[in-house]
Amino acid sequence: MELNIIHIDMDAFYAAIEMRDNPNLRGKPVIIGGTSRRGVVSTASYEAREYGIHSAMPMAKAKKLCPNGIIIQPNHQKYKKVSKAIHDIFNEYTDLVEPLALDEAFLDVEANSQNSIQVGREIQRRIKKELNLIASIGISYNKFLAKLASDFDKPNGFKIISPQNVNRLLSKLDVEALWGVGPKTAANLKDHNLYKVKDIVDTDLVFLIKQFGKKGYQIYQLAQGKDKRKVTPPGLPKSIGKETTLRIDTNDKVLLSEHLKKLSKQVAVRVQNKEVHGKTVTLKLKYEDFEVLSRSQTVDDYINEESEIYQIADGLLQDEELTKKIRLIGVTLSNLKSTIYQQLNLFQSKN
Amino acid sequence: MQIKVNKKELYEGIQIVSKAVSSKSTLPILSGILIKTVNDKLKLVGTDLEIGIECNVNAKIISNGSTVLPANYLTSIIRELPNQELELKVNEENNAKIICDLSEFKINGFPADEFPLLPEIESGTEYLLKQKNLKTMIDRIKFATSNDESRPFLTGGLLLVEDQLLKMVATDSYRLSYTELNLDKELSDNKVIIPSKTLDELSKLLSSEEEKEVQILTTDNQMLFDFSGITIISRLIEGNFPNYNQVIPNNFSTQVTVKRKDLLNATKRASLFVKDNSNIIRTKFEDSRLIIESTSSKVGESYEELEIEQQGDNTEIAFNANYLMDVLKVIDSEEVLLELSGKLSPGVIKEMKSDEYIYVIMPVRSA
Repeated sequence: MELNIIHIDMDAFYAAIEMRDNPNLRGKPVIIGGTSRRGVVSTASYEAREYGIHSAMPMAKAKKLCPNGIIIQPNHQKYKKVSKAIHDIFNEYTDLVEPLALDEAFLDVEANSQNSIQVGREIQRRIKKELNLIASIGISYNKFLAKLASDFDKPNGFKIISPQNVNRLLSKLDVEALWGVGPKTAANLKDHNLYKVKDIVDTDLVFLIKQFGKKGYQIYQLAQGKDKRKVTPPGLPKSIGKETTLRIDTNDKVLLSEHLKKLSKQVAVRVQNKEVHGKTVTLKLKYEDFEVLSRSQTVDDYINEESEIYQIADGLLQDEELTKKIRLIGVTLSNLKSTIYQQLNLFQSKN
Repeated sequence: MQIKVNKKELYEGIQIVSKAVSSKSTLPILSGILIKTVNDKLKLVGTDLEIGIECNVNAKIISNGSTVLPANYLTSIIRELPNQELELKVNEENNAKIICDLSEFKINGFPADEFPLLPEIESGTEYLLKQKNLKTMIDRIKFATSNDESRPFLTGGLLLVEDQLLKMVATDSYRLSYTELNLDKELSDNKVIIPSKTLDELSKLLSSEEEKEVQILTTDNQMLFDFSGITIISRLIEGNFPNYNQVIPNNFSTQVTVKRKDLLNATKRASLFVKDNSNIIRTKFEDSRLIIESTSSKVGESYEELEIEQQGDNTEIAFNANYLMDVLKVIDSEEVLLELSGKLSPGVIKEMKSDEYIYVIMPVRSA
């Protein structure tokens, strides 16, 4: 059981962004949420949480608990932008990123040559350095445990759940910690004197299945730290690209062209596997002094063949006057669309 | 326990209850069939704890008892035995002996008291239906259920009692199947989602004979069907079924009558080329002609033309051929009615002169 699954959860995400962008808010109880009469709290800063405020609480109640709290209307556009920047970091480490919300995601880093603990540390550091935000990281061998781990010592947490410590950590938790156990199921479990995860482990599987059907089996598995769900990235990718750092810096265009050809082939294979085609080709160059340059060209018809991608990327390369040596070269196809027809859905509003 | 039973009757009973036995079971004992003497009968039970099937077999009971025997071995042994009386003996350790003529098999069983059963249904809404009617309704909708486990409420069929009508609906959100039956009697309103596995087994086991009836009992989370000596108990699916009424179109701009069999055959042929390409066929309705085309860049093209009766605008629309064939296989009437409203709006297929069965398909937009 390899520790390949990372769960990343941003700490007090909306509030943290507002406090980062407005130094006057720092150290103060900041509450993000709807300010109307029926508004609810979407995020509370850690300072505000000390007053007992938590997300989904009616704003009116939050005001009563913390009259000095600074209430801010959420700015979703801004949070989306930050979320994208975070996901761009994730995508550098693996293709297998499954976003759960703007502020959390699962990563499967099995294919990455670094181990998950190095990757986790690096991501946490980069989020702090590049975005000035705090994330909690959970690492384990399945999704359920990774998510549980990221919740362990928030904020700025870093927790690993391994096969060695899993039982010790799980057994003392309440049944609500199990994925899929909501208030209804929890109440039902408690009616049968099952309060802790340990109680579930000690219960007869037959009894659980009898009471809860398939869900009983699932709860029993989770209580023992077993979870077979895979990290699945959502639908179509936004772009597919490949880049390589050269062994020796160069400004020899013939050599660079050869690299482009190889990269174009790799991109074409991935694009075709995903059953998409795209309209925009981007050439990325990193100079020896780490200056990054990117040049794009958009064509009228969708393309996904190696030769088509290469032709455009190489054209962009030839147009460039290389003043310094190149250390990294990459090519990306974006503006993607499915090559297959689009089946329309009955329950989605017209187009 | 010791009994004598006719091979054929026992084999039929085992086949019926085996349908509830899951091959990939969560508990080893669930791969078995519970065998129990009840009065002068042998009661057989199979379950995967989502669905349970029971049936009774005539038997000569020499001594009472019960055991659980592995379904796959039991089935193959009984199948291969000659068609005559056989004897089943089970000792205290659940070692079973099956004797038939000069053949003798020993199988190890499980203790019957460890066999988990679905919770018993105490009381609920109760009514009688003709087996044939229920079977027809199930067959009309079950193919439209979804297999997307992330939306469990679409993986079953909705069964609804309202306004003296029994309605059944299924959808995978790309197509929707609706059927109704007049009950001619007052029943309290009732709304449940039945898992597709239960629908499948009911469809296989319900009789098409005119007069046979099925007794139905519904609670909030379980449903019981009692018919022809068989009892099926099923868990129900929790969740809110989507509002099907709002997606059944009331208007159309093109109405077409076409021979069901001709349309089915033409669609089948057109789909031969496009199996790997999401099964897309393009249909054109032009001046009382229906043209069906399909293209596969790797294989080639197909063209079909059918004569139709057309009222309203000429139009064209692309469908997943499977969605079209599924309904054409089930419809009973010689001709079908197609109602369309342009290439991006849902198409409706009905039996002629009847609103008891309505099928809605969402089109495919070309790239």
